[in-house]
Amino acid sequence: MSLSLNFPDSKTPQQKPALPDPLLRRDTSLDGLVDYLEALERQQDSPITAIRRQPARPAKFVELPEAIDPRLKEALASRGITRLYSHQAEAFERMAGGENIVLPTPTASGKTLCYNLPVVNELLKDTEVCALYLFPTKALSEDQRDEFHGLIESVGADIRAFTYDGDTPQDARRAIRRRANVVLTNPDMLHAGVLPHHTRWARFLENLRYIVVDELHTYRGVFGSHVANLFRRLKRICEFYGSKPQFVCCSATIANPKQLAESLIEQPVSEVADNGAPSGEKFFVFYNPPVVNRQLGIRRSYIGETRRLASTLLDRRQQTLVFANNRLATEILVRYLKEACRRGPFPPDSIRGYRGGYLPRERREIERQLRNGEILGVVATNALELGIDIGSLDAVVLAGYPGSIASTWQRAGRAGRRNSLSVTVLVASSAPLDQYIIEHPEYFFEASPEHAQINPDNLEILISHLKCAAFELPIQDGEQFGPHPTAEPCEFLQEAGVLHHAGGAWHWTSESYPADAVSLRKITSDNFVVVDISGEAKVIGQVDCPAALTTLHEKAIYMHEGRLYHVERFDYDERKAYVKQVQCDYFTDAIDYTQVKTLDSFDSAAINLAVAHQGEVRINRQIVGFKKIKFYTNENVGAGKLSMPEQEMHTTSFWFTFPEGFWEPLSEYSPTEKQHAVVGLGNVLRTVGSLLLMCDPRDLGIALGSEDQTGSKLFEPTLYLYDNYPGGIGQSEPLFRLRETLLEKSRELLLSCPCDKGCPSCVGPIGEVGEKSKEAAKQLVEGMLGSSKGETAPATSVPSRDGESEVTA
Amino acid sequence: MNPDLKSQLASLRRRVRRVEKGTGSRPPRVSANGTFPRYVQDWPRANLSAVQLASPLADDMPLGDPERYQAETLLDGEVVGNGRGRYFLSEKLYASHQRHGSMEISHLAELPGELLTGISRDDIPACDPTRWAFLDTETTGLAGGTGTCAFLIGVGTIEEAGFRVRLFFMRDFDEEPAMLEGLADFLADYEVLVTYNGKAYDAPLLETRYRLARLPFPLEALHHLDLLHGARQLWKLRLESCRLADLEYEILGVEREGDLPGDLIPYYYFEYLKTKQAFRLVPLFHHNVIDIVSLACLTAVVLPAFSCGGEADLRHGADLLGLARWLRRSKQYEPALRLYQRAIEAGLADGNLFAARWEAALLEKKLARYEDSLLTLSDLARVKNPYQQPALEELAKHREHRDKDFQTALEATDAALLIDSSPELLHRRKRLKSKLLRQTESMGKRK
Repeated sequence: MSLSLNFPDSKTPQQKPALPDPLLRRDTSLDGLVDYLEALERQQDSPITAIRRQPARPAKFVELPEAIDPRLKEALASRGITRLYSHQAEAFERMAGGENIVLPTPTASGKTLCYNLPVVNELLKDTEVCALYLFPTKALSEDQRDEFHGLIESVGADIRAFTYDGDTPQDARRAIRRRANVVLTNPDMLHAGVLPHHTRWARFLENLRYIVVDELHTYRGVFGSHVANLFRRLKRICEFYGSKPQFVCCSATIANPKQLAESLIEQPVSEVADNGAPSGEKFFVFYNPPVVNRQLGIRRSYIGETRRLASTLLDRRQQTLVFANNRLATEILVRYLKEACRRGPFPPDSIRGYRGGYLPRERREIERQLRNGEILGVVATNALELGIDIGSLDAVVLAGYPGSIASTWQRAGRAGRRNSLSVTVLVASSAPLDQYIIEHPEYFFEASPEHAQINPDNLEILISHLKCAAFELPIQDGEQFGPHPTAEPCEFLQEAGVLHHAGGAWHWTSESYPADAVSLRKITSDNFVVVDISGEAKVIGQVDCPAALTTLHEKAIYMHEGRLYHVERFDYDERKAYVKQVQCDYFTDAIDYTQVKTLDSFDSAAINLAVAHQGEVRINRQIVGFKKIKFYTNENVGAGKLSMPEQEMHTTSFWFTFPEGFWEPLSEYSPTEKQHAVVGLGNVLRTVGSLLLMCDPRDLGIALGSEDQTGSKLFEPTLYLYDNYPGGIGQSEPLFRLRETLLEKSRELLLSCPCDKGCPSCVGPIGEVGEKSKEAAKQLVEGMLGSSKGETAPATSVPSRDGESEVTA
Repeated sequence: MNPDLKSQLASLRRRVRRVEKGTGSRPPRVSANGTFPRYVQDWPRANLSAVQLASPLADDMPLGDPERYQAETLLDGEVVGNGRGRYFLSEKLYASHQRHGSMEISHLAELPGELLTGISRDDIPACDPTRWAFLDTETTGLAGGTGTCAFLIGVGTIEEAGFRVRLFFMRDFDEEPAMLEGLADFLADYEVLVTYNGKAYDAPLLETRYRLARLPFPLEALHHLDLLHGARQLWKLRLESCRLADLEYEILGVEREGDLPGDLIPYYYFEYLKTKQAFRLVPLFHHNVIDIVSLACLTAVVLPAFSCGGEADLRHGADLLGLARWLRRSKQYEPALRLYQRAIEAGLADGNLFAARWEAALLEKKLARYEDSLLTLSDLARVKNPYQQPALEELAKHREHRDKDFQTALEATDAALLIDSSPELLHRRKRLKSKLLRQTESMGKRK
């Protein structure tokens, strides 16, 4: 939490405004603003490092396909749709041709119709037909259910669509199973609630014709690997009921939508790439807060600059969405912008916050207000990045780089009226990654968005789902699970005592319910509620478990929509925090401390003088205290100690140890430079490792530790590349096995990366790893692959690379 | 299987072996009569998601000729075949002269078929007891879902010779379709299904099994009486638990000998599947038979109670009260009132006593026995009890509307208000006061 908020200008509150008067002139169009920004860009030492213009693109319309039912045509006409965008029609035609399709569509390009149209059209012909809609979150399911209801109401047909998830009351579930045509749910519910009880869903599964997978890009890394196995199970059950559903997938911009869809569903998928939706002219502005202290290279606070830029947009009555990278920054910005409103022409409640911890009802209200234009500005976390329908906005301000190219484009996509100008401004924080991106606009604008990787053949994941599959239906001899023969894994599971072979099939022989033991994602349902006891006690929000420790500890200031609450009591056992509303001029930021410890090395191998290991590690994280930070000036106005419950995670890890002797050939480097070399190598290994494992870089944690238990001062660091999942997810053993390849590919990356001294694609930005890191990391790898020797320095920590809530030590 | 997965599997095997050899991290084993270990939480490496926990059963397999322990030789029964294959069928007859606890087996055949209508509120038509089937299953777990299987299905029927229990048993998973078909064929001759918690448990589970075997579900054709609901109605006020095994002891006085812990049943079966040694199935079969006989005998106790109106043959006040409430909900007010009175006479604990009197008073009012109702209410209004205030309020209503005695009504209302205030009471007080005022005025005028 403490890593991403930097207020470098805290000592210099009396700055002259970076944006001079012309900007503050009231002008309700964006044109003037763009002119001004372009002029500003041409100045010397301009805070604007790039402006890219995307010209307006006209809509590509086509006539409604013949095959569309007249009732549906009429309903569309009543909603003002007489023609389709080309991609909608193409999706319709390809679906009619029986193909699976994937649509990489930006937000607000009419993607919902791409799947609702064929589904509703088919339902009008055959009322028995069923469709399964999968969304990564419950909120999206609800949003899309309302959208779907709207369409079928206009059609006036008896088509029944329901959400089915953890919130569905027990007595409604039976009726839904019996009557639904369309069920909107999430993968977790499909995994633990539907498939293990598939006989209750017999009618639905027998008639299942379509499976809609929205937000496909979220199914990457370990989560995606789980979902791919879940689809293997689903297809197997469908086969039992004699159905063969068609898949429609929608994805945000990623480099490989077709490839991702095909590896998730393991069937050929055709890509509907040509987007026919119109878009207005768009500007993308890179803004680097000006330097205020040349000697120290300190810049103005990006939070302050974001507030200033957002206020300017709001003053011009431009509906603006501000994205911050964490909840603290979000709440601070809500407060600042509300206060700015108090001085301006709009009431403070025209600004709202939006993040995960708000209650669902509150979030639905904010979404509605955004769509209706009742509110002018929202400050959000990535909770608004997914496709919740909030309409299109005039402007987006990104407070800090979102961490990936794909996610930056997706957030930017929230701005974009069809017929008018829109603007996105990226305000860089002083984090090294942000500074690299903002100073190298071509790196961002010319690079492809990230590839979404999955590995459905990760053995531990595969085995977990094979157990669930056997529970659902006995596994027949000769049956394949995805592309894999099942005999050997089934024999393994028989040795483990959970399967039994009889009559040509493997049967589940355990009293347990295997889906309970497999969680598709690293989320816990364990959350804390925030109870406001200022007046009559009422619940005002919820916070998930790891974040609760940093935001709800006693004496913390909890912020909710810019309001401040003092935490009176934190009840860990009851999962409650009692807060009282207060007026104060500071917020709090928790200080945490993470440590990795080797528990057991399963296997090790010398690589020249270094040693590679794989085994079990323990990761401990503790909140040790907090800082009080004054609003606006960011002065540190106090601190406190805390003794909070320690969070402990056991997981598997791959690691290198570098004994003292290893460092001899690198003796020209200072201890810090050596340290940086190891950190840089860690970043490279993570990039290469995630490619080899086909996982998301965030599925691997990196940590630097000193295994030296004797108290000696030798520099003998350990570089951990651990499974960022409790219990491990089977990524360490393959890394260990592929260690030679891992090092060779790392060397290739270091040699081929065109950057000079380091960039986010290799060792990390120079600001984080220093000038020598790339060169020294190269020598480290050479030292392991070729031959080498070394010396001493203390061990410390690797800061997070992507500004997300990454655990590092 | 591709070589990469193969080597991953080999490494996983090594890891499992490490864990198992590791110091004390193997799941603890307990003997058959021991407690069920809580290793799921405690086992330090439970995170090895691919690794399953070993059986908690002790290694006390008897030595000797393995043939001697096979199901066919060890268990009374025979292998039966049908179009779907073969399965194992075992039979046990309880002759009519035998007793099960306090119940004579011969009594079962004498049960009148009309008893079914009372407890089912006429959902189940009268039917001769020889057309009743008592069913209970033994399953591979309690988790539910498609991976839970009924490997043993016991069905008891009443016949002239006594009570016969048939056990349909699958010696392995491949016998399941034949067993299910055998059961369906057998049940085709019966009209009523009696179970204990079968509506929530056995029936849905069997429905899943039949669907998976692609066979029609035979239970749908039978009237289903789930005795759990009636039994709870009768005994929940008196007994801590209404589990079948507890009722069997409390009501029938049966003491089971050498019964096995229910938690371990799935493990017994899994072990049998692995070894095909049936010696541990003997107590398991016995367990199922006893369950079914007890179910039949309890049915013979429960059904008459629900059919005799106010004259049910029950002795305990709590049981009478439970039944009285059921009758009241069934709108059988006269017999319900009779049972309330009998319950109060038989003796009840304080909490139940006040409740019974209060409910009886309301019933008396409903039946227009106002004098009785007044007496009961006055008693309740006099002593401190949870119904004192509502009793006072009822009294006030009665005095106001029936007797037009506003003064007494006002006194009762004030007394009720002393206990706790409510908007209704305050409103009543106001109205009574104005009525009183008008009464005095009109009396004054008459003078």
